[in-house]
Amino acid sequence: MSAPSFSGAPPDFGSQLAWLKVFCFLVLSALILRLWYLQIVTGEEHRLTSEKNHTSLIDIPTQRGLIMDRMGQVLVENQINYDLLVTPGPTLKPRDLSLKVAQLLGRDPLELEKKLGALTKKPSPNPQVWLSGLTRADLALLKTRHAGLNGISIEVNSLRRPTMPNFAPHVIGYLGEISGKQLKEEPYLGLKPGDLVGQSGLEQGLESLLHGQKGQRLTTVDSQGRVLDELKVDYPQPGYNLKLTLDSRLQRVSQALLGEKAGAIVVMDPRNFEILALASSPTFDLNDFVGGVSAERWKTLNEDPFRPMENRAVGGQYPPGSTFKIAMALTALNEGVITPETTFSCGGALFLGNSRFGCWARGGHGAVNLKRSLKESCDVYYYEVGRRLGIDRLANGVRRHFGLGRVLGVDLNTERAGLVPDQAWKLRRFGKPWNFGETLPVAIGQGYLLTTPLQVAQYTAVAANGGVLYRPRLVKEVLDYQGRLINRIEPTVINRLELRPDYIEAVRKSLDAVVNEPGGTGRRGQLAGVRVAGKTGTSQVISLSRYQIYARGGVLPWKYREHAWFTAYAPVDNPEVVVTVLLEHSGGGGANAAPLAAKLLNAYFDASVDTRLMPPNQAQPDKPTGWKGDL
Amino acid sequence: MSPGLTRRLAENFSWPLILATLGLMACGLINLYSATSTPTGEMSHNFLKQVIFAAIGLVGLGIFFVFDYRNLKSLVWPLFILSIILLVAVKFFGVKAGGAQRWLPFGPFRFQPSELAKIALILLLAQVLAKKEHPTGLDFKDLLWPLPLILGPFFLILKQPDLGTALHLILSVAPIFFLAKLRLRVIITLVSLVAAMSAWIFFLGGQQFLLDRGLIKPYQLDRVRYYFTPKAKPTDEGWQIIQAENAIGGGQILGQGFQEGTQQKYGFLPARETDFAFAALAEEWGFVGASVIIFLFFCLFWAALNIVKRGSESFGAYLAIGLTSLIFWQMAINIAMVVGLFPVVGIPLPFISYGGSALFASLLAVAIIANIGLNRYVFQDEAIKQNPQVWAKGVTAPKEPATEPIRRLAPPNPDEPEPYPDHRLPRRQVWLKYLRKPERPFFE
Repeated sequence: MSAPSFSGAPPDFGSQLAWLKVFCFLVLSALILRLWYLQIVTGEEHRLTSEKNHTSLIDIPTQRGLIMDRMGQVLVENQINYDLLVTPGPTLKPRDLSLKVAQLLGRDPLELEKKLGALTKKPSPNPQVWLSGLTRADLALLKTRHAGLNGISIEVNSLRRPTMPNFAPHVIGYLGEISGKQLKEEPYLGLKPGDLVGQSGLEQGLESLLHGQKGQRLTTVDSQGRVLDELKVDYPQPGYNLKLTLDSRLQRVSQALLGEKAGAIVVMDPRNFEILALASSPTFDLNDFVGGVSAERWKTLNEDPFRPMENRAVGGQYPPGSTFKIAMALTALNEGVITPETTFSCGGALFLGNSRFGCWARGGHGAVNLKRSLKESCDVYYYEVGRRLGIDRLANGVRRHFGLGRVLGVDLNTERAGLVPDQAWKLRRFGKPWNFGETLPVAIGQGYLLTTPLQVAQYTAVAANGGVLYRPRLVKEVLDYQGRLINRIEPTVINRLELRPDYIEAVRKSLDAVVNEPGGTGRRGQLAGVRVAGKTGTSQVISLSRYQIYARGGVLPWKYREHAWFTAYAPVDNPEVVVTVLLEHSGGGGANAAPLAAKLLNAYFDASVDTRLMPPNQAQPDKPTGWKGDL
Repeated sequence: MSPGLTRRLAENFSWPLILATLGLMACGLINLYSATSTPTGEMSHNFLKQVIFAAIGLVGLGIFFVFDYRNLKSLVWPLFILSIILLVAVKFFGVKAGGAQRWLPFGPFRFQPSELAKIALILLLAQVLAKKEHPTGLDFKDLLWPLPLILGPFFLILKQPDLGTALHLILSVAPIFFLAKLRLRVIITLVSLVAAMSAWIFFLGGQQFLLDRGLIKPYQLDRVRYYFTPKAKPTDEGWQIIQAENAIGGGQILGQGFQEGTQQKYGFLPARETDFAFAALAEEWGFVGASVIIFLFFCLFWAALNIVKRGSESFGAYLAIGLTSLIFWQMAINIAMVVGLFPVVGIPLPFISYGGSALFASLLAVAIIANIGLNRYVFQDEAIKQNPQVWAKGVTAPKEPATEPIRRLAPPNPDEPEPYPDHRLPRRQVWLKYLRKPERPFFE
């Protein structure tokens, strides 16, 4: 039988509809699953990303601490500088932009465009400095008409500018871009590539005090990078101001006295080892380093044969010559190998085995006691002392009591330790045992011995103050940016030489005699009105045999000439200043270095003396002058 | 309003469908308020416009219930021809925007003929397929007539170029054929054809072929490419995908809160009120809010499919399924695109995205579906007259009280006519046949 059909029969979609429902359900489930994955499984990281999207952390630059001398006179200050940066990109239209900026600032559009063209030649994600040193008026114009200028930004930075020309560049130091290695090191953590940090001198050594704490501003930005809102501000902390122990007048006088000569001057207070002046010559100009040194200047500074970048006062290592006899006398007295009355006979030389160790006075000094040995600087006396002490006792004594052979820490990374040789050192260095004959040159400040001018000043000061070795220092006070005292650096005693006062007195009397008694080697160090004590030194750079080559009438090349030393303190009764002068390759210490020390002491005691009366010092002489012959 | 309509409204009105639609519209407006407001939270002009559009659309929806959807039957061919003419006209008079020519200027408005073409094609296919019954399913020869009807608008839209809408067109009409039952061999052939096409496009240099013929544009290829590697070009196409994912993911479970979504508020989210509205919603309302939207859509489709199931005639069923699938694919493609499961194509999310014409189109579709549900029963006197037994029983039956449901269509079995039809037809429970004891054959 057949069912009668009628047109309105409801169609049967049973299974197809069920399949469609299942399909619909599956698709929607897939979407829900995906949402679950995005929002719940990985939601946290998406939230972080979107947070990073709309917030931006902007650094607020901080002020670097000022550096002042002991009177509070500012030596280095911060100069605010505005740079116009441009971000090279595909959307940048150099011509339009240059035209607009030129109209705004009233400059030459062609020149601007040329400069911009050079910048945008190679694409870079980082903004590049287009114009440097904008004025405040420029800044106002740019800030108010910023709307049409896409791709440019203004950077505020402060330049470190010395207030006095050519003032103690080795001590103050300069800033440079942070290096990749420094970024990972302790005081620089938290800094970014491109930040300026101290790269030499105190700027480098006291970076952690000077640099302060950068501030940060957390802001909301939209997709165009416009700042909409400020969420959080950490205000910057300015760096600490430093009050140095340097006396800027004495420093200027020291530098002027050195003039064009290569050398160093250390002026120190023996009562607490505050360094009043630390001059090294030749110098360089810190202004060259403001805002980064040019490659060309850097090259000439580094290739200069007189090494103007070297801080000779703390980093130059020289044989101390006869000035070492101060340390020798005190060590020998302390070790008990001599007394002030011990007398040796000087016949012009000491013979040890087959070797002859000559005294500077060929004829000899005859019978020499402590006072005469220092006054006339008898070498044979100290050969004998050295022979009696032996190298190890000698080395340990001078290391311990005078800080030789080690760095005491004046916050300058250029400070060098010098060299005090002993048996172990020889074995380590050359793999050979100590030769007994090598002790004798060391005893007169020659041989392997090397000291820095600062170390010479140290043992002079120890003799002057009765035997106390303090840590030499350059920083007197640490102040905050409002001038409140944060820390006053107190003198630190490193060692006390427990020596009979009459022995020390004997040494001081002898040093007095060097300057003030007839026959003393340092007669030129005398000063009217103030009694000065001191010791000369003339240290040889080459061995005696080398001298023979030039002895036949040739001119001794500059670099082989002797160093001139003079180290002094004054007044004799109550020493309050130590002056050490080193002149490289300048001949006899008594003749060349002592007059400088006298002038400097005069300046110390007479406050009216200033550099106005002296010839100005020249930073990095282009040509060595004052010396004849080849180098 | 005639008493017939009120009664039908009370009985056959698909409340889930309408409530889901209203819920989606409300969510859409809330989201739009946040997405278009300024960062300081002020109301925008576009939001007001959309509120007005929604109000107009709802009034239209109400008015539409008065008519019977069957009246559309006479409009099928004129509408289709009109849409084809408009699609061709776009080619010549269309407004160019963003490299594509999709819009016709219409006074101050712009009109997108492809939207009309979709609905016209569904109407046409519903009528064509309803003409004839296919108890064994459609065979190849049955597809000969509908296929050019589909491919015509398809290529016209593809050449605009609008790959997204063209694909949407194909996907929307597919369930109509599925519902009409396809023979297994037809299904196998179609599936293998699609597989071969994809293999050819993705692996065998079909891309170049299509590019050379101008059938797809390089930027369309790029979009697909950046879909697979969004990080490759994080500034452009890939940027949209990455930012949308960050917005959605950043919503986490409960969302960032109303008007607190930072991705959309600060303009990192592209097209946050139109194509990527769902991302803005998911950012502000989180997984919960996004799931609610998807659930509302699910309710809408479920209600629509139930209307299809309980429909009384093929035209209505095909039309309803076509319109349902129109909304379904629009939603599925948009959300899949926003959550990074599908390449970026310009298809808005129905009821949620900003846009008047898209809202009207979606509401029209819902209105037609609801109308089909409303007019479930065919009051065809002829039909009952053709079945005299039912007629007789019906006549002899005691008069039903006025509150009783109206007379329903008799079941098609004339031998066992139901003299007193139940309140409802038996629910079709597909799985029940597995529980039922096997029936004894009729002739034994």
